[in-house]
Amino acid sequence: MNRQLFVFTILVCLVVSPLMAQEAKFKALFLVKFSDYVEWPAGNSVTVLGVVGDSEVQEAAQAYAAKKPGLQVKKISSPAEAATCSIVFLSKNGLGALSGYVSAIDKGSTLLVIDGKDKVKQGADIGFYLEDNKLRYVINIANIESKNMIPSSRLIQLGTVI
Amino acid sequence: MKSIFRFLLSLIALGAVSQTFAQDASEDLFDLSLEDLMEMEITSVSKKAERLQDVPSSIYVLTSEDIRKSGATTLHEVLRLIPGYWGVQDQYSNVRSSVRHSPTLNAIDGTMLFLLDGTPMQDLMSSTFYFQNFDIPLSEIDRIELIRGSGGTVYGANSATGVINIFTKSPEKYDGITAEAEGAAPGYVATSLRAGGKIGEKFALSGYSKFRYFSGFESMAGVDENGNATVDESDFDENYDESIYYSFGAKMNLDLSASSKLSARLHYNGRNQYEYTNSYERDFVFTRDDRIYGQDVTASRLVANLRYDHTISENHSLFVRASTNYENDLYEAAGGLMVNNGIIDFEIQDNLSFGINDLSFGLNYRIANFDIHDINDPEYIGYVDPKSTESLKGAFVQNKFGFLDSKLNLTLGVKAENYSLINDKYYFSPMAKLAAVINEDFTVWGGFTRSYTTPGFNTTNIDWFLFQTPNPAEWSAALTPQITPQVEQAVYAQAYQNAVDAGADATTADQQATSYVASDEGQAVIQAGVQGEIQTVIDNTPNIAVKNGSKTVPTDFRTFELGFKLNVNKMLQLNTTVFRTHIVDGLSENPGGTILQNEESVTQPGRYADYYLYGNYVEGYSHGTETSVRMSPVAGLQMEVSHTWLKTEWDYQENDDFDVSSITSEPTPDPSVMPSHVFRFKGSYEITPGFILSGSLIHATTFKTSEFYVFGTERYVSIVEAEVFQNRDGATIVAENDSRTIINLRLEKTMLDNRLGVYVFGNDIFNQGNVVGTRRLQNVTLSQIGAMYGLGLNYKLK
Repeated sequence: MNRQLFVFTILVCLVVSPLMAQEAKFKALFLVKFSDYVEWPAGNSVTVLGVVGDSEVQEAAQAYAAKKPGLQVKKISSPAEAATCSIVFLSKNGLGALSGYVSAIDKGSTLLVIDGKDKVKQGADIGFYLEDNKLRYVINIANIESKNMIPSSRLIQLGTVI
Repeated sequence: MKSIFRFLLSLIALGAVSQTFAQDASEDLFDLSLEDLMEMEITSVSKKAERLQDVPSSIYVLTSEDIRKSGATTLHEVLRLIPGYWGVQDQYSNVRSSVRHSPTLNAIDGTMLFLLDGTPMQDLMSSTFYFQNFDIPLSEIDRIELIRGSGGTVYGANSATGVINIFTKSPEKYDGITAEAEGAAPGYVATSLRAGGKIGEKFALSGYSKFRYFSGFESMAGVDENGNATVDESDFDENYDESIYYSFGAKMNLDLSASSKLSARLHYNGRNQYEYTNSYERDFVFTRDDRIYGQDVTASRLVANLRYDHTISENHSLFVRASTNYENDLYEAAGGLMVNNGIIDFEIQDNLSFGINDLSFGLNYRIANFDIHDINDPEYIGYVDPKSTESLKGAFVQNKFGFLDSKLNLTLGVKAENYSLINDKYYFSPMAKLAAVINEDFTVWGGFTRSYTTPGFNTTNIDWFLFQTPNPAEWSAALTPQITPQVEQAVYAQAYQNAVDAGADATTADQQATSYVASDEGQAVIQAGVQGEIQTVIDNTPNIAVKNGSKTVPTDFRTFELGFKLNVNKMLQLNTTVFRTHIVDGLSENPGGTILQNEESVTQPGRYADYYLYGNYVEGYSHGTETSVRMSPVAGLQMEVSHTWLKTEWDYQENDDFDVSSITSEPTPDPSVMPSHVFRFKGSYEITPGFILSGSLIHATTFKTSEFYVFGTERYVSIVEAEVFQNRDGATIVAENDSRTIINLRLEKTMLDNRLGVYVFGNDIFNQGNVVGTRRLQNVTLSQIGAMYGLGLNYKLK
């Protein structure tokens, strides 16, 4: 390896390591915003957001929580913890446990948001996907309403209903 | 090379260091609504938000809602709402358009690239977009992005002064079946049916069909602009302004896996129209009458692509695309000829994000097929290699460095491209742009781009005989009866004088001269005299033809631009750009009208002509400004005011074909081909829920359109008449150089929970019928443009 190539490789390695993961921040922002567009039976004064398997989303959401009174963010690692949350987010890494979370939430008023749209019909409420480089979501209205939550018309209008 | 490498290393190193101190720009996003967030782009490479506000280019986006409110019936009527675009119609569906560029007279230099779902739609003959052979339902368009200025580094060929990127709606965005119908006076009907949506979790499919009929505005056949008859019987007994378009399309998206997707797009349109073309035969010199060819034209265009997208990781993705654009149409010039030209394009692009870098690089290979056939008058026009295949090869790399957590963005890139139609060289299009995002509402940007055009077949392979001199036998047959008595008279006079000089009286001299004329010797002298006179005529009336210059190269555009984008309280957006482009190797006719004498034809060996050349004989500067203000002062009211200024000045440049040092004439048209100033206003107001009034006003200052025309013959004064015979008898000027104002209005009411929309519209409402543009080389006679008033409805069936 010649000297220039060596220096170039070192520099590339230096800049690659701390990735900024902007997509994770957008997902976190959407999750935080969802709390303004859904009405829970117990009211919206306190919203607990549980994040499964994506520390970047959790960290970003926690940063936003500081700006939004009534929002709490926590990392959860088992379906049993989901029942204590208003919103649960399953990243791609956590989708293997989707059925467990669906069963644990059952008819409880927990909005289950997952990364990806293909598995939403398996019991989730909202699924993120990218289209034309923009973050989009599909929304399962019947499932949300079956858990006694009321999605706003704007939330339905902005998403793709399945 | 070493210094470039060091420079890149320095930039990456600087990026690595600055990243440590970066602030989190996305914190600013917290206050945005969900609606706003959904409009923000996360590029597939960087996963970084790219708002229109932050892009270091002069980009204008026309949304599907803008298109719906416009009342437009054609793509051109949509585009003319975009600040910076200008098009001149000579027929309802035929337009010569431009962005940031005003060419020399008769130059068609293809500086603006048209893309449909990413597929280039340039006409291979002229490198421009052929509006007349295109139609899709306008409601099928999701958005149109106009990049004012060069897109050369990414888009390559012909994106020198602008890119018009038409994106149609994704199949997922359909939800059911929608039927549309609209009609207008005079004689316009359009209907379309669109359907589609998701079929299962991973597959989405959509399709559309459209039919459009237009009878034409009031015919100019045999009448003047006031409708007064100018001939007893018109040469044009078929309605050449009448057109029928039909189109259909199909699109699909298939999710192959969580990380890969396959998509396909297909658009097809057909056109039926009776068209007239004309040529100037060898007997024109005797008859002064051209030959008209009338034919029922069935034209078509196919635009399709197949694309595979694969996401390798959150920061790495690529796509591979194969696309095609094929056009089958009558090329109207020179008596008419059929073309079946098209491209097959292969492209691969890799997008990689690391640290502060958003890196993209790609390759493309394009096969360009030329098939020119059924030339109506092959003696009048020919092409070198009328059936041939050429290739275009390109490679590009571009990196966006996001310093200070993307508050300061530097984009560097370069594209290398070779087009075998021109030569073996690779032309490099570098760019460097810097955008400073001062805050969420204020961005300043600027930079340099270099870009090239690729000349069309008409600029490289054409051999067009504007004036055809008869052959010697034809000359002899035509002139002998006229010339012989004159020569006989001259021979008689000479013999008579000789007799008088020899001492004969008048009677004797007459007898001797008459006898000499009748003698074999006298007849031989007369024959020689006649042949001599005919040869003199032949020598003084050569063929006159047009071909390309001896070394045609791409035109080189080097642009500096500076702009800013400002948001005020989210109610007012101000965009301003100032630019200056240095143009080298621009296209023009031969400098100062100089003509090359007695050159051998490039398509018909042994045939000679005096040649006009068409080549890289000019250089110049374009400069201008673009300013637009969007306002939404109260709920339901949206307004936009814009102004664009453009000035292109040309000079002759040194070249291999002509000495330009002594030429005093100026190649800059006066007035310019494109207007210097264009003012636009558009607005919409929701009077009551679902009841929307929208309108637009466009005003352009004076631009060049005028042409000499003879109403008595229903023809333009041809180049033959004007240049060869110096004769413009009976000619008047049509389409006088003037300003133009266009006003459009539309009123819509939506009902049944937005499933039914009913509207009335008026386009160009104060136009009482005008010859707006002229193309004397392509069109035989005149057409006019007028107002259109109509109504329509759209209904969502399911």
